[in-house]
Amino acid sequence: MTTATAQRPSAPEQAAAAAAPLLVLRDVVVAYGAVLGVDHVSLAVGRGQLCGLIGPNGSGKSSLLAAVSRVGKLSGGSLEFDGQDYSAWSAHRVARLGFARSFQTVRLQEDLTVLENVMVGADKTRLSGATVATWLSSLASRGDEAKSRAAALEALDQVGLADMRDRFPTTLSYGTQRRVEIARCLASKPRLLLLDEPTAGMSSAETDEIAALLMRLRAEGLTQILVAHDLSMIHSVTDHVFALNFGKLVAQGRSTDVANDPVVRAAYIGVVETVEEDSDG
Amino acid sequence: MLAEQLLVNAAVLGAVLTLFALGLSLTWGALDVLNLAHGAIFVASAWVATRLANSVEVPFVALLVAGMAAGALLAVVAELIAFRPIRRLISNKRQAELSMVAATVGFGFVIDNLVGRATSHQVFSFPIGAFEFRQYDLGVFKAFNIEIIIFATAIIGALLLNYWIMRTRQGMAIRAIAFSPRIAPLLGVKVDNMAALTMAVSGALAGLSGSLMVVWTSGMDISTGHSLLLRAFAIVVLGGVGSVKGCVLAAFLLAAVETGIVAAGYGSMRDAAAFSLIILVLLFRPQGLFGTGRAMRA
Amino acid sequence: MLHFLASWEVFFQTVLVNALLAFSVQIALRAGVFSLAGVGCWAIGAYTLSILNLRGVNTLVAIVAAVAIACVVSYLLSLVLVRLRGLYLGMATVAFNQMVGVAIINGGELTGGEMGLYGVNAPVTTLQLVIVVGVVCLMLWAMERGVLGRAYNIVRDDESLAESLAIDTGSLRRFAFVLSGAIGALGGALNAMLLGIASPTDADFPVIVIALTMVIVGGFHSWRGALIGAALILWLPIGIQSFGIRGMHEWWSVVYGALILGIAVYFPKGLLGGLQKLRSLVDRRAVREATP
Repeated sequence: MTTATAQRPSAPEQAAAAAAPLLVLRDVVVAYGAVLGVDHVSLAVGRGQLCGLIGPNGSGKSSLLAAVSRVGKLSGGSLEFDGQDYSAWSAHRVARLGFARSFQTVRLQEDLTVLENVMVGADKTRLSGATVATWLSSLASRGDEAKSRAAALEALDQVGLADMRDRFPTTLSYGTQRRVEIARCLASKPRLLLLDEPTAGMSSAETDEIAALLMRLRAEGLTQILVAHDLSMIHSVTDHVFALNFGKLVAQGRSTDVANDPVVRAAYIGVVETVEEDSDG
Repeated sequence: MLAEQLLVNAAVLGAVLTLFALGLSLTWGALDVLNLAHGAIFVASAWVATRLANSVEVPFVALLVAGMAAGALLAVVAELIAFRPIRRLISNKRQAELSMVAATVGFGFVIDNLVGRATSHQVFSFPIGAFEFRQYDLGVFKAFNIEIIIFATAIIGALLLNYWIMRTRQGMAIRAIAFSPRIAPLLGVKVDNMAALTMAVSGALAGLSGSLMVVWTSGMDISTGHSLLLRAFAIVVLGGVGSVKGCVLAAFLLAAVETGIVAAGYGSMRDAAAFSLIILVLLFRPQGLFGTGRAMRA
Repeated sequence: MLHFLASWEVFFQTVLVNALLAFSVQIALRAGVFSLAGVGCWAIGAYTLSILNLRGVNTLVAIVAAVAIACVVSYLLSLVLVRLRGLYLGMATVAFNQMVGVAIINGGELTGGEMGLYGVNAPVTTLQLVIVVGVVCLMLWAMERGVLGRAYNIVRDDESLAESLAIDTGSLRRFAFVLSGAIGALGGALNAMLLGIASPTDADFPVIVIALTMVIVGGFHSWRGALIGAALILWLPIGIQSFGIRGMHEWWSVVYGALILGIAVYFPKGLLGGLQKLRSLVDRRAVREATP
């Protein structure tokens, strides 16, 4: 390794780096005793991609997401983010890499206002290891609190909830609460967004708004993984889809191809219509 | 003291602890409820049996039944005024645990003070003459009839309890609740009724062990309940929550260790056995010897 | 008037010192750490101070030593109990407290065995107590705000969520654990100074019950709750007695137990939490009236 001057990567090297996938899973296994919730899944998510993760209930989607964010356990295989193997890292360390995720159930703090809830997401850029150091530094810098606040307001704007900022989560509709959660994710300026059924329980109008938001974020270059049951949303929003069944990756590709894949359709018993491609691509 | 006699002591202590700890383990395993008033119920039931013995001439069995009834009643009261409302009102698990601890501590405090008032805060004991002690020479060691009764009762009680849990419909219902308190009602299990029944059995066990113990020892007071509670916790943790055989084994093990410590002259350290056991088990095998592994819910 | 103040001064001092006990439990619970080890540390603090004072050590040094020892013990304990949660953690800390009690009783000459230690001569004024408790309150207040306040909120209610938000839950929990021990020890030391004695009952079950009660009644989400709880619980026996209803004062312990029971079930966040609920109800009503 050169020790003198750091060499600027050449243009081809930069291009190659930009083309390298952001997230790579190799042979990931999540075992619950003898049962494999995730069974040797390998996949790669490209930078700026909006990927869908589909599969019937119990197919391992949430387990996979949990393992990827290291909040859940990883029984085997490796996880790599931007070239960094993080399989052995703790969840909070991984989060600091730039992961933000939402969960299947709404997890907001009841005794914090919407703004405060979202600020927690923004805070994450300030919390360091040792608690005492954090505490002393938070006492010392009033400006940081303002920065968190600003980032939180910006995120709330993005989901269109700026006027709800002083409300308490329990006074909001379920769909609105979910949007607050998404704002919390966005407030941390993530590099990878993991959304677990973000539009479950939303009206179709809200779902469309979220879909539009996700597209905007994609246009800004944010890499996203979206777990969803709503196949039409998946179809309209994603670049690439991964299909799981019984913990195994059974298909991947464009959403229409995956939806028409006989193995996938067999897994989703009852899917009758073929998903047609839009005429405008 | 002869080793054989120590063995008898340990066996009887273990028997009392078994019955008491089984009551705690039952509600903890089935209802996720740690009844910290269990010790107070023990003492109160013992007091009831003592009072009855002081007032009327009844067969010994009647005294035991009275003690069990008192225990069952108090436990059901706890269910109605503490556990049931907590189940209904508090959904956050952490919060519920905290409230349950505080509520049972409060309830136990009330019972303790009522018993204390009734006994003028003195040690109370079983009236002399109310029970005819007889000692039998069983070759290897000598045992009193009460000691044999206690030991036999514990073994039979454990077997009956195990049968009830494993082989009857009610037991199945209770196990269903233990497995999933939210799904059980969907299967037709009336959770409230089962909870009350479970608490009643648990209280009866406390009452039974209390009534037996008060005859065997020279007297008891409120602090007996506290001491027993901590040891019962150690036993349930060691044996594994919800496991009958684990409870029995752990109870006799603890009794043996404690008897040994006292016999070796370290009486003031007796309680340290239970506490050390708690910490050791929680560190190295939190699910206990025969537990189902639900030990730690983060 | 002066007589009135004088008799209330003792009460006031007791409340201040016991507030520290309540704080030690509150700060752990607020972080979601079900630890009652602050009580054991209260005893450690009382005995450390007494032992050192009886050997002529400067009072301030003795206090610092008491707190420091408690910090070390708490830290080690936190490592040992790291994987435990909820009830299991709670009971393990109760076991720890009892072990402190056993160690004290078996401490021979050093700890005075069953009798405890007498003749501690380290007088403390009410003003000094107010300042100490004031500083602790300030510290707790600071910890309830901003980044740390929000972080602890989440660590308390939802650990895995906290982790996913880049919050080092392990570090925060350990910190709360150690601080709980430190404040408990401080309280114990001051109590020994106030009473002039250290006794094995300082780690006993009743102390644990009282500490828990103060926090449950007041509300464990904030230091204010612990303070309210401490004052209320200590005032209660006096209050009931002074009401003078015939025979009522004999039943104060029943009232006490019933109060704990009632609040634990129906006001799980304590009186302070009850006030907050009221506030959010008002908020909801305002929203309902505002939306068409």
